[in-house]
Amino acid sequence: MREIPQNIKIDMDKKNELLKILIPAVGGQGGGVLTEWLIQVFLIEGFEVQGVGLPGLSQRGGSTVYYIESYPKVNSEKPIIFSQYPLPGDIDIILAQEFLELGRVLELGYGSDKTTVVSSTHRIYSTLEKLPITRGIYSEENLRKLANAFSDKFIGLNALEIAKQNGLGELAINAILLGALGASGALNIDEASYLKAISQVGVGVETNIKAFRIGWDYVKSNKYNLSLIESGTKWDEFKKERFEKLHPDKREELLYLIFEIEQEYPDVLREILAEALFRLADYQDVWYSKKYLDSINKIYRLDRNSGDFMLTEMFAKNLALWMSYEDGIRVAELKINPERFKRIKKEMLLRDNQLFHVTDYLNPDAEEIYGLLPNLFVSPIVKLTETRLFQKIWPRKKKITFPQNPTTSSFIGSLRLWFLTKFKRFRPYSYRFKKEYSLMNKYSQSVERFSRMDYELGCLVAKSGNIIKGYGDVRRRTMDSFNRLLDNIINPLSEFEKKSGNSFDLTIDTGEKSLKLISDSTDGIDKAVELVNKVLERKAA
Amino acid sequence: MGSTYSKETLEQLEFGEGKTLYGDTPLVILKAFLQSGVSYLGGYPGSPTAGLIDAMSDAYDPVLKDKGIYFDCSGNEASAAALLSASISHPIRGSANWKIVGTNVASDALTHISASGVTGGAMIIVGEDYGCDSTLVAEKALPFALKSTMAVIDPRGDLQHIANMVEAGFELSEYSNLPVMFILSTRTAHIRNKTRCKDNIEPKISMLNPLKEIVSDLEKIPMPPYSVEHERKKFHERIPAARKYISNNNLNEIFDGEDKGLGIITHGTVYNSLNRSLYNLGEANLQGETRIPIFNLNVTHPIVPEEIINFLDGKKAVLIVEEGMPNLIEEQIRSIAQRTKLNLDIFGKDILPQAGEYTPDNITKGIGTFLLSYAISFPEKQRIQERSEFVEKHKEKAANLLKESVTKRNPVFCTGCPERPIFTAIKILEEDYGKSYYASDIGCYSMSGLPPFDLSSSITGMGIGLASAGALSRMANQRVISFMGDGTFWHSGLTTSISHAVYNNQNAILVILENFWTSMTGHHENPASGMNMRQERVSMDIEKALKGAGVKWIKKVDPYDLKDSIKVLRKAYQTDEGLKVIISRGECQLEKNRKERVVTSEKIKTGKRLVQTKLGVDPDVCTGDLSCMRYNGCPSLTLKESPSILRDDPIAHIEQSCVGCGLCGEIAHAAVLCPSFYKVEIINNPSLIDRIEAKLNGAFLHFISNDVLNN
Repeated sequence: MREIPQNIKIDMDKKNELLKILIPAVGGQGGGVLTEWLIQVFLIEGFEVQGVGLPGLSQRGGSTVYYIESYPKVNSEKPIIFSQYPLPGDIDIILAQEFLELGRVLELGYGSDKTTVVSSTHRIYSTLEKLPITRGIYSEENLRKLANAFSDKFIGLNALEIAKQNGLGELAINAILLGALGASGALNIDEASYLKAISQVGVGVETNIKAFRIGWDYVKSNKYNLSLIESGTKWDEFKKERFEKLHPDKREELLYLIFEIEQEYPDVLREILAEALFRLADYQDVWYSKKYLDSINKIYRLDRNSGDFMLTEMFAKNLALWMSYEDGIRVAELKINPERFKRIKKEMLLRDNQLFHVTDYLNPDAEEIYGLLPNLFVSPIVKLTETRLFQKIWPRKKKITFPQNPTTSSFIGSLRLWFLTKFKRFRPYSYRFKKEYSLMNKYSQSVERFSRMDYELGCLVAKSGNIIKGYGDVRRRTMDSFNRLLDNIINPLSEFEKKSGNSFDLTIDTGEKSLKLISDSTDGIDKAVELVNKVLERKAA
Repeated sequence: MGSTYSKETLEQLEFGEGKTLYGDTPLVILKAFLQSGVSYLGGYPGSPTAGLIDAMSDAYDPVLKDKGIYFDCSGNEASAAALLSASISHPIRGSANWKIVGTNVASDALTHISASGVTGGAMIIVGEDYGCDSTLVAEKALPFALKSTMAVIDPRGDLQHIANMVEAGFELSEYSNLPVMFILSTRTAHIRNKTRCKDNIEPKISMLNPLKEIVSDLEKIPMPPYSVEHERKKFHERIPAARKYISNNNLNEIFDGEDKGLGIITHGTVYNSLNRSLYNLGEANLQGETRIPIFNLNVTHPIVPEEIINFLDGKKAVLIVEEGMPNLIEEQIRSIAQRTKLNLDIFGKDILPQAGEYTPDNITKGIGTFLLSYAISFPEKQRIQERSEFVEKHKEKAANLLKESVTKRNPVFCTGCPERPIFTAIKILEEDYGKSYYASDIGCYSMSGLPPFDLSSSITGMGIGLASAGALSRMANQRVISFMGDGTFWHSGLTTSISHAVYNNQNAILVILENFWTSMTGHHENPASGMNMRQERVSMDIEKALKGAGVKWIKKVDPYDLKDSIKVLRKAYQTDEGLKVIISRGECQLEKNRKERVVTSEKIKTGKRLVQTKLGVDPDVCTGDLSCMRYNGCPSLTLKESPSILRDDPIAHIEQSCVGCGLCGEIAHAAVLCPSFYKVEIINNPSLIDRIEAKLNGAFLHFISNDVLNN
């Protein structure tokens, strides 16, 4: 029997001595400096070390990795043979600059039950997350699942937020993370060596030492465990805050409606409903809020025994947003509101000795303008323009729009918007209002009708209200998508299933798929309808 | 270009015998050049060798110039390769570098130089990016060197070793008259570590000590009747000489082991992966002591048959771990074994992956298979089995934990990038004109093929995007639009694409993105920069060159004026004949910002009036339809949660990193999207007039504000 020769020391079980550190990063975020600090730390400690960085290869904001290997004892006779590639399942420390990047390397198998993971939990959204019309952000819960499943110890801290709170720039996250790693004890290296390394590398030394200490203390004081608990605002404060913003004349009347929610609706819904009531009272008047609550009531009656009230919640959110659709009047009000300029000043971190001008990019199209006029007057004209004869006489190739760039922070620039706000009281008689309202009614009725058929189906329809968004063409397109979703997808499928049995699984499943298609691309509804036609054809055959 | 290497770092280049240098691979290679007494250097930037150009460019003024070393800012890889001609008849050492695909551009020059052979050591550093970290095609350099008869050095992933091999390479080249190709893989090109220095050698011939007399040796000129003689010399003189030098100087290494019946043959960088793989299987230690003997080829061409025979002799079985296809090393070894009638089993690509980088995890399974065939004891078998399967199983476990896989992050154009707005304009025009055939080329703008733009029907490089659409310009219903950067224009675009298009009266639109830098490689000067890499002024004009080539339809646009760009593009779309060239001029924002940052902070500090621009999105006006994202792709235009608890979906948001180019606002206008965007002009150190104006405005505005609040 041949055994491993004893004169060659093959340290099969002493793997821990070689340190392997993987740094996943977003290109252009200072990962190179972070890597350099660590290399210097190891050199100061007298380790053998090799750093491999792929700077620039990530090409502007793509994913990139840095990789360090280090060996504590220097044997000058025989140097360590380092690997230039990290090996899945064989990494001791993962130090991640951003949360999604952590997720990506963990999904590739780099983490294991012997890995210490130190990661910032802030997100830099990738292009693919920015494109869908509904939520395309990757689930944070999933990322946490990965981090917990493939680590021995997971230290997650929002380094960007911590940097901001301490008045430091974005790039300070690197030193904060280094501090967090140092304090985690994964490396057994003194604080002094880290500080010396930061000084030696010489990039933003003062700031980075400050940031390092912040990261170090944050982990030492165990704060990263606390940061997960978020405190919600109290109901009374919630009410008070909104009341103060509301016009005094409207307050008393609205109070009755708020009282009604407190009495008749469960606690989980009251903030949403109250937010909606305030919003609509501000948008139009209290009569409008009351109208809203009446619609909610109809749906809530079907939802009383569900337990989590998902149907009412989704319906309440979407209906409130829909009823406060953004027309010229609404935009004008928001644009010249003095609160807006306070917010801008704060967001842009402006000091008192700086002045600023705000210029807006407004480009309403024709319908957004005439939509504000009385329905009685506009409706016949629109009907006329839609006739074939009219379109033959005046074929409009180019869309009519009214581009303008008013300086809304100036008196002159805000005048015309102020003038527009005066149309507010006539809004309920406008052409646009009638148009929005007819589809809104269809929405309410559909939610009610489908909920009676099947609760989950009702929820799907209630949820689908969130695809209606945007201005001008975008809004007309999304409204059209919604209309077709009801008429060409949910309706025929549910009718089909009603006949064949009691389950609406197919409708719900296909409805979800359709919503995903609509969310992902502008012609999603066409693809969805095609899909449904195929499904129905197949079923019919 | 901002210096990549600090003064202190570059000072290490003067270190003498025994001192320790700390730095990255490019710096170590440059030091090895100086230790070899090179007279001239050149190259065309491209990852993973772009860092080498940085090092040479940064070191030119403080170090190289004083030594009289010529540094060539090569126009493309062909001119870089041509530089090596200086070594043909003269005892001059020199080196050129480029990335793997550049070898194709350089091939004409290399063929001629290889035929003549070299007198002075000539070395080409080829950045091989087989894992495609920054290259669009996967390709190996070895087959290329074989067909042109060049020696190939493929070093282990160890900086000291790399430095030694550079020095050995020059000796090998001079001894054998072969030009030497030195392979630098992506990872080995980016190592940071310490190395021991030697004294620099002063170049024999230099700008300070020029050639007294030019040698004209007719026999060195590739022209009949000498051409046939060159071919004979290659195989009868140069290759045998190289083999002799390689084996006399032990350039290849044997890592001996106890188990003489087995062996593994590998090469260069792959050795590091192999050792790690064996270590994890329990077959070697970290210092490279191994149970099974390893023969590592640091020179992969020519192979020395005697060395191979010596290693194979008396063995039962050998595994060849060779990265890439075609597997020329394996085929050569098999033929040597067959010719020598050695009776042993040879394994290679039959149990290892055919394609792809040989990372430790990619080869572990194959190595396990080899070891298992010859393992004897049960515990040994069990250990190898278990460990060789571990990585695959672990990877699978990780990949399957979640139902929804983690979203990918593709690279994006920078904040404020002047190249991006043209793609926005084309995207907006798609609504009216439908999709065109987009023939893209190599540069940052290749990213226009990725979301959100998706504007690439093809990418063919370099400088040949437009030419690649030659046939389709006449045979497709769609119009042809091609993109080309200024670097690409001067690299070869002018000759290969533009003069060809004019000559053939190609009906196409060419958008030249002139941003004055070769940005993709990390900001290198190009002829459009107004300065070369030695920081000497040059003046080369794209428009004049186009006119000279006979292009009639030329329009210039300011990329940030979206409206004008759309107008000009529309005009081009409607002109259905000949070549239409639109030059979009705007300096690379990264480079511009680097310069402006200093001026801005200086002005603010000294109390001068300064207006800064930022863009914003009103969170209560934005409905979150995110149409703006589909036309933009700016990194600072991102998402945030809506301030209203009624809106579950995120809304658009502009981060503080905004540089105020205003494109997002222009898009909202041009594509008629929404009124959410606004521009803020921040006045630092306002003048008296500013302040009076603000006071007056405030007084009037007060009236409106009160009214709005009471509405």
